[in-house]
Amino acid sequence: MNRPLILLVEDDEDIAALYGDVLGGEGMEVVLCRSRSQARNWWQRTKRQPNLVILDVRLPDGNGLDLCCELGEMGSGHPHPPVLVLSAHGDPRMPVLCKQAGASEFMDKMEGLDKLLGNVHKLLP
Amino acid sequence: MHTNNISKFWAWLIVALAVICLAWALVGGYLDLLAWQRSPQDLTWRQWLGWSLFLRGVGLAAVMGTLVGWIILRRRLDRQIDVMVEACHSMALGEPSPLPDAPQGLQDMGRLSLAIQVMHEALLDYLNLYRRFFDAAPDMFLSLAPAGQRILDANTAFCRTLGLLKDEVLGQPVERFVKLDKGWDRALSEGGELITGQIKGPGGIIRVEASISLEGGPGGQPWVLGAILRDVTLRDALYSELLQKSTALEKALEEIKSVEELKDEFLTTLSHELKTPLVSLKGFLQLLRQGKASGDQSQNYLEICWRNLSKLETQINNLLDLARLSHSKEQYSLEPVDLASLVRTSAENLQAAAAERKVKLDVSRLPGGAVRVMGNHGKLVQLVDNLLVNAVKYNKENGEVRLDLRGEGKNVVLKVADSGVGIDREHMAVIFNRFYRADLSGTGRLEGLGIGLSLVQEIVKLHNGDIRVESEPGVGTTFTVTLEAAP
Repeated sequence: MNRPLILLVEDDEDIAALYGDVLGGEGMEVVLCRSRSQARNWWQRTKRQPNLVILDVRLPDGNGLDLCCELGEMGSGHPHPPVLVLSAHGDPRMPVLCKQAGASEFMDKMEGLDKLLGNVHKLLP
Repeated sequence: MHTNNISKFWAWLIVALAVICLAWALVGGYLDLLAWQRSPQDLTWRQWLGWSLFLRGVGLAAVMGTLVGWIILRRRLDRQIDVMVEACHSMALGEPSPLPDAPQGLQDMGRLSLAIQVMHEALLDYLNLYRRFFDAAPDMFLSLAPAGQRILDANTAFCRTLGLLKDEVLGQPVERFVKLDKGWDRALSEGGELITGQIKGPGGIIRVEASISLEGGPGGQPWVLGAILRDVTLRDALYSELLQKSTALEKALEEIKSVEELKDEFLTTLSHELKTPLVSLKGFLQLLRQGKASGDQSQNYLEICWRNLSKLETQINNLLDLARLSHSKEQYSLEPVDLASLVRTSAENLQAAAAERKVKLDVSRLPGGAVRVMGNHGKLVQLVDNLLVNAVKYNKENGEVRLDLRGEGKNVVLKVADSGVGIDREHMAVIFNRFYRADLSGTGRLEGLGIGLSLVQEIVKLHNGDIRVESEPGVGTTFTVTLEAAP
């Protein structure tokens, strides 16, 4: 049986390593993209649809919410996977903006690893 | 009775008397002649001739006497009339000229003189009333000749404003003194509104508002009667000042709004910049605390935690330093510092990060020996670090950062030049603003807290130095810092 595939789009090297280790420890396969363009390219090339997308809002070449919209528009012949948006933004409008962009869930990065794992398990089909 | 009627009465009376005398002489002579013919024996022709001559002589004498009397009376009347006419002309010109008393026998003329005198004084009173009103007015009043627009009369306010005597103004074309913005010809053709213009006074240009009195002239053309001018220099100045203040207030309001937006953006950025290392710290510490890391992993996690802790410390220190430097600079003592050694050390510390970004740090122009400035060592390290970090951060791949340090007279000049993205002209003025952040990639993504260059500027101010920036988009940016050399 395939391990759940998770596309993690995160530019901060340390946070990406942390989430990679934690999700890997839970038996998930993690694909890391460090920018919007990298994620877009991977999405176009991949033969396997990820089971979950985890997006950071601030990326070096754009906004994670825009990427969320783009991934929805690009399509892949498969049902769109759930998207979990993460941010350390502190912007109170963010949950609403995420919903508008088509994301399934939003969480503040400061809420910790337990909350992250809870959300991941909740969103994984 | 009217004077003319009096003259006619006397004239007719005299003529009548003369005619009666003549008639009497002729009729008397004729009657005598008839009497002589009826009885020529009663009177000799000599007697008849004597009577006839006598009677005619008397008649002629009466006529001549009457005519001479009339002529004498007439001449006295004419003289008196001449005197009165002359006096009236003098009065019309405004010269003091009391009418003479009427001579004996011409009391009616005396009454006439008195009546003229009374009328003249009444007119003078009336004129004086308007004159006082004219001269006491703070506005400038001008009476103009309709056709040539020459000044017939001007009040005190107008002469005072021009700094001229009334004689220097009267008779002159009004355009010589009053320039209307739209010109006199257009003002006369349009009329009916307040027209702006100016007067050149001894103290400079005076702005005026003119109200021109017009009436229909011959052929329906407007015919100017006069103008009232009001000095609006102060009002215009106040209006202009008010406008300036209003504009300044609007600008201030815009700035406040902009500062509010900047503040909101800053708080969001601050939250992100402080929370990002905290997320790593908290997460890795949680893994360590739960014992979920192997031996090697634990060491790696600790290294990551340390790095993020240092990042946090730097951010917080920069923020606190900026706040401290902005409010009080007295607590920092200045002493001789070897800037050359300081710059070399900073460059060495940044070498690894620069290599990671494929940016070359060129220190070949740095002098081998010491270059001492008066400064605070800790703050100068911050200054150089911030400039070097920016030069690497905003550089291109395979770019270069050139460092140059040299003494120039009593100063030391440090140049940090990069071959990076450069700064647009429109952003040059704001790069030292607190919380301004450059768009690194052109995507709108802004990095850091936007306090690096602001902090650099505060440190330069602390050292009473100077910082300049030259930049060309796509070519690179050079920061030049001038500091006082140590004695």
